[in-house]
Amino acid sequence: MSVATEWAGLAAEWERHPLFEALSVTVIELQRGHACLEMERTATNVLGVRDSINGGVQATVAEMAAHIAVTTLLGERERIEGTQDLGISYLYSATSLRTVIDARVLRHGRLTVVDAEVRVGDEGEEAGRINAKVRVTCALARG
Amino acid sequence: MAHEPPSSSAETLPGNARRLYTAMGIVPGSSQDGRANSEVRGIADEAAPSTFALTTAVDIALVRAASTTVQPPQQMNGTAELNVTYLREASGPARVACTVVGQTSTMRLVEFTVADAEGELARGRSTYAVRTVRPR
Repeated sequence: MSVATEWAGLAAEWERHPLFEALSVTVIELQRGHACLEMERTATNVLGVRDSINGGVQATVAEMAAHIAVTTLLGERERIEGTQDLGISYLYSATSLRTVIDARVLRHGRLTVVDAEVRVGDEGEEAGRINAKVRVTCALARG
Repeated sequence: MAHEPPSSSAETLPGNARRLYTAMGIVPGSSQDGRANSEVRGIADEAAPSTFALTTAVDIALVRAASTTVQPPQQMNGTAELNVTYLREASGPARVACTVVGQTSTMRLVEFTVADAEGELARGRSTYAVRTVRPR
């Protein structure tokens, strides 16, 4: 896992976002159209049933990962206007110490669609298990 | 079916909830009879909440709305699906309002709106899973 040199500034910029610090999120991989974040289990983000990471927090971090992935594709005159749609299906309780949020752009256009997964980041039997599947549509502005 | 309304101040909530609410700028409002609401303020130096904060706020409010309809032997079992459509960004503090509009023995269907002083800015729905625990 790595952040390519050309995206190091972008990763650093996002890691200064107040929610990254509050939710203990870091950027662990960044490529064109792809962002991978890691979130530590903390006293702040655990608020779900079965002592799991709050579902809203998972959705929010997936949304942020989607925005970062989209940012790597923006042209000079493009910017993200905002999230238009977000849909998340929760499959398992997120109880691992480390959670990985992986976002990949499926389509880049005025409406840009991102597929994201919230996965178990710990090693062991459940490593890589998908806890939630997310789709984020971002509206882009041009000019 | 009514639950005691939670405090309107995040400062009196349990530790984890207080930390998360503070981080997201969420101030919980009342919750009873299948309804719950909350206010979402901007975080840090934001004049208005971002969709990032609103997405978490919506999930927390819908869980609170669902919880007012769940009685033993049923138990809360987690959000199953959440879908939200944002019409525009918030221009100032926003209010999340959730209503349970349907229920079965295994789920609650919750609809919600998000509005600021200029009107509605988001709408969506969620299914929340419940389970029935029978004594042995």
